[in-house]
Amino acid sequence: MGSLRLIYHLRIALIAVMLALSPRVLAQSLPGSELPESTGPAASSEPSGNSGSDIEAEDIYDKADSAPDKKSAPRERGEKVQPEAQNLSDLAKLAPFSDIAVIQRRFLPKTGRFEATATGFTNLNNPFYSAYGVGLAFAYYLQEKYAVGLLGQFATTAARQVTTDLEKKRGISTSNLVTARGFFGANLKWNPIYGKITWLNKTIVPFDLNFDLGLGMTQTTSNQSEPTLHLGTAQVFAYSKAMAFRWDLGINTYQATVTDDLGKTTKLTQYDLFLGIGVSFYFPEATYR
Amino acid sequence: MTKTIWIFLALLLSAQAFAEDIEVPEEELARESTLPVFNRRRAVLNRNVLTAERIEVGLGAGMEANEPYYNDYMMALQGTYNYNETQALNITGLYWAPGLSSYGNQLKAGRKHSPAQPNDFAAFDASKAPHPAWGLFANYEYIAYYGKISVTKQNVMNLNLFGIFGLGYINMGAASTFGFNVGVGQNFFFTKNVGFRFDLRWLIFQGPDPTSKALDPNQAAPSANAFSNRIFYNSQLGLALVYIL
Repeated sequence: MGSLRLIYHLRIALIAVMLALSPRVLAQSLPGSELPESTGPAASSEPSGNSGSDIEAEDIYDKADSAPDKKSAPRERGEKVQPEAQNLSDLAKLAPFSDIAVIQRRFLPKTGRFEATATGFTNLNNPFYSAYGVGLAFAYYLQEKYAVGLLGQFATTAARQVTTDLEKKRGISTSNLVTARGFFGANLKWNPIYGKITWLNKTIVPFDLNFDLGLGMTQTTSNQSEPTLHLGTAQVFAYSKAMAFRWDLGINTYQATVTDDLGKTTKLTQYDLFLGIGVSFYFPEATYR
Repeated sequence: MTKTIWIFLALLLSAQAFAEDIEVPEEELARESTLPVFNRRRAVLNRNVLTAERIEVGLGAGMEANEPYYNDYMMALQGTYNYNETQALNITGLYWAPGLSSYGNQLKAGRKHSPAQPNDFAAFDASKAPHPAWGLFANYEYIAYYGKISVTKQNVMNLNLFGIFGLGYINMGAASTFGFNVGVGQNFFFTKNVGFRFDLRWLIFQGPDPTSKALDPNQAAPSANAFSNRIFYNSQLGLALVYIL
């Protein structure tokens, strides 16, 4: 019984000795770990195959890495410098990203590109005349969000049935009403909203929602040219990096000069609301995405 | 027991692992990537706004943009049951604000000069003709597009685009009729349940033509049957606050 116990203790002692002697595991120390790099016999020797010239080259790279990187310097004053994580313990010091685009990578880049647009439009809010026309616009994007442009609208107008009925059935003339025949102006475009939309969960269609403010002249059916304030919004659905489909909603506000049957001249404030559907082309070709 | 000890020792003695930095020449690194091809493509895996088999209620206002005679403001109450993420049944109740438009009031005032002038006309009170007071429409709604927009770099909003068409009943006081409406719209969701619904609809119906009678403001309104009918095409803009139950 005593001999069995002795053998048992000897075995345990043998295992303990083996445990102490065997773990010559040569692993790279993790950044930030307290394990000294000299631990283990292999750490003191150079890895096989590394010549002296390689070590010199590495020294050069190390110096280059330690030199301050001008490109990664803060671009704006006041921007905080994020400490670079060198050790595992540094991860706890990192702050959340302050500049993340929730929808990343614009499919249809616009900066430095021209946009040529053609739309067909109709007037939505004139109760007495309907207008159908063509709109042409040309814009240059200074940045993704901002563009300057020129726009023109050419419309034909026709009396609605209510106008005809009033004249023929009740003898009421609408000659003191005015409607727009055309508009020419310049605008500033603000393109703050970018999105992605899926068609029946099959295809992704990127789109922009932009707003524009412009000034111009409206040519009226009474052959007057009136200063006009233009406000508009458009949703532009990218088909490719060079082409997009769009719908536009715009309102032109102007003081129309009208002359009635007696030759009396009055000023009327007009609000022309237009809905347009069209297509835009972008050039030159996008090379930076 | 002896076997176990030998296995244990063998494992301990064999644990001499040598980690080594392997450097692959840059020219041997992969330069092309391929995208996985799926049999069943799904553009959106996790929708933020789930509408399938849910009811959406909304309260809003709008305007009849091309109405010549009558007050063009209107109220709307609507409920939508979404069968799935792309199809829904929409019930919309419309209430037209009473009164005349600015043009309607000009016509009601008439124009009379002494001596008479060519542009004089008799007062014409369109409010004496039957015109839409309220309506109830059942619409099929097809939500073809769903997506998200980046409003700021920190916020994202979901939206969907839909087409809508349906039939409805229009009450005109002394008369009533049925109408057809068709339109397009967008829902902009601020949260998973709350959003704005913007739509543009065209309401087409046959109803009494006010100009078919004289409509003197000082005379009683003619009966609804006295008017001849014509077809109206009214464009309506609507904005509503919606909540998904």
